[in-house]
Amino acid sequence: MSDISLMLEDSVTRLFSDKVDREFLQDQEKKGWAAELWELTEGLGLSSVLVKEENGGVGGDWADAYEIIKGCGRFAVPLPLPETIVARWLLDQTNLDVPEGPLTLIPTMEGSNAKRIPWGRNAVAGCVTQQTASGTSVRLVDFTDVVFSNEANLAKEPRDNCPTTGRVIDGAVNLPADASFYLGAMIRSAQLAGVSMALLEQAAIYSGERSQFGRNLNKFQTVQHNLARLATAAASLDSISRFAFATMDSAGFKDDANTDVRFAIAAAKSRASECVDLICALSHQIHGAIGFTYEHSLHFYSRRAWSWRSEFGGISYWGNTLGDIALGLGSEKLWGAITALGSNETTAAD
Amino acid sequence: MESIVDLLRYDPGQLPASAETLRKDVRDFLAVEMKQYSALKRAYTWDGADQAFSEKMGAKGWLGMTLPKEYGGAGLSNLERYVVAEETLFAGAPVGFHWIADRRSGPLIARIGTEKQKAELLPRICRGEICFCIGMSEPNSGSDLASLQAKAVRTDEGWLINGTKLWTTNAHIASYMIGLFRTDMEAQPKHAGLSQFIIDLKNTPGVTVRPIEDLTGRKHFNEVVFEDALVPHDALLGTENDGWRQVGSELAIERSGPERFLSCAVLFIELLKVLEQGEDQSAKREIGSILANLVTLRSMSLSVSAKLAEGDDVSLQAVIVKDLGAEFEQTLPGIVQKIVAIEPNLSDDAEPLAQVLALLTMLAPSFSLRGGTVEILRGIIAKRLGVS
Repeated sequence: MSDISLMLEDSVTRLFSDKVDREFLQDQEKKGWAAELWELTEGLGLSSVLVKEENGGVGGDWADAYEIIKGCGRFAVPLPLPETIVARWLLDQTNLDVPEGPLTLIPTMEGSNAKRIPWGRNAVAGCVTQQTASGTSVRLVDFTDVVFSNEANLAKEPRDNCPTTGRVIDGAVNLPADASFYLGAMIRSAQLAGVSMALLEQAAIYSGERSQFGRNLNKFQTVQHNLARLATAAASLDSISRFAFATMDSAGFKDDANTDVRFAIAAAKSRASECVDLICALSHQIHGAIGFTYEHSLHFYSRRAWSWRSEFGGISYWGNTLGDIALGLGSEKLWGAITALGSNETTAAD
Repeated sequence: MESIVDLLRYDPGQLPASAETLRKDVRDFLAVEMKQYSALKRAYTWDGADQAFSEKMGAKGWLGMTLPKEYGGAGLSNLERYVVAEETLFAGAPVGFHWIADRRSGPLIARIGTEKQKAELLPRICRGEICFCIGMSEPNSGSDLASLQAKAVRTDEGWLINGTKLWTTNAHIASYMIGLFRTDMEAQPKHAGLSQFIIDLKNTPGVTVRPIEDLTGRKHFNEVVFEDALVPHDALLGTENDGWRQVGSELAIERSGPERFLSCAVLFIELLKVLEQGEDQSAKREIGSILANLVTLRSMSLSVSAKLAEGDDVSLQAVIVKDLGAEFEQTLPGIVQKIVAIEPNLSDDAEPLAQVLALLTMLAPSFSLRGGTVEILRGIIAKRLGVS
């Protein structure tokens, strides 16, 4: 693990554990945009972690970005910081100027309408990779003066619709046309890994405090085993999500021919989405009725998990995508593709 | 205390570039060796034993790879061994004869054995000549291992062993057992008075090996009875009364290895073979889900292996791989049933998928028993996380 990673993990944990507590989240859900928190993250340069140093960024790698994005999940950070990190990286690959302020990713475009844009109303612009006549472009949609129809996910995070009437500029980029969707799925899998840890941590703490039948809940073997299952599921999300980010570093995402990144991201989001049921169910079960109240903080994490699992493709989408990969490779070649993941052969070509 | 988040960390493990050349050599070798193997025969994976095959592996230099060169090993890291292990398992190669020696006995002897033990045994392990078994469980000590009763008493002539070991895999073909025996009857706590011994099963009077049929009708595990079996003083492995710690120190490799999620790989591949012939794409999502699980488990397993190669303590991460791996493998036969209308069938002329499904449906219960039950593993996880 690099020094930058350690430093980032440490400062992210300190900032968010200090600022983003239950009162903050309750307050934010009523009032909306957490401007002050956004400025604090900008002060640390977090959103520019992947921007090259010569362009004013941190010059970190995807493994570094993982620590920040996982932290956003673990602390239920109500900001489009993961989206901005990816958008700034996309723009940094082009010759476009990078706008100041929060950015977002546009998950899907239906004709001239963009749907369910994370934090659309709060972002200054949105990014999406698209196929153009001359190859792939990063399309930057300026949100100034754009009128959104506001929607939200289960955690009341903005997921807004808009006609893409804003000023649009394209920057050519050496990426596949669906890169922004894949990277969107990748950041959600990292956030899910983080929020799963929070659901585990909360259950661990609560079971050590709450007493029934004369002993703490964590003295009951059934509860211990539920905590263990919760931990194994959460651990598996950390592993495969980290792995996907590491594959971005080692194999890159330059063209369609390189399947490693697609494979790793599809596996990460598929696995993450599938584990949400178990992780939320166990954490809520351990908390009992109190975890079902608005008063308790648990729902800030579980409602995010329930939403994030479907965003940028859910169980069905990524299961089918991986199924296509498996059946496309067939019984003869599948194992070779699995073992190519995590090998150094791909690095050599980089 | 470390936070839960730090304890559950899985840094991505990368294989060294040299591992890929090795992988290709192993694949080429297996393509020839495994040509005559039916899917059913492959499905036994590390339950299948064939000394001739193990000797060929030894001749290639693929056994005892992590052992020092002076004893016939290759002095490589656990990552090279990982590549050979996952390739042979995926191919369904009959690795049972050398599996325990290569994975556990060899490294243990290399670490704590005497010079005589190392010189006598390690070269033969590397050549695939000798099979090892591990004597742990007893009739009244299953998961409660510290309660074991079989004892070794020091006499002038050597150690006098009495008692019974049970569920000892491969004792009927093994030349040696590394067994855990009580050497201090008074010790408290109970696990303090245990010691390990290397026992020559073929040449020690008073040792009786009785194979036990498993529910499929095969004989691969055994009852081993010791009646005044006398072994030399230098059969002691490591330090007297330090057996419990010695046993525990090697567990991370075997709990996190590719055998924890590749025992059912043949079933997955046979399923794919059936599906790729047909037009029905409705099973695609299920296939994707299996693959996501497999790739996730491999990422965890590889992470642990890389950390072990660096000498880090990843015993908790290893336990988690075993728990999740067993769960994955045990659900696979049921998932196959959801996707394909097929009846498990062991008849010689049945479809390969039906045969493999039949075998693994019946073997599946053992996956969460062997090498530590799921109950024990989850207890360890809870304890390590500080939630018990």
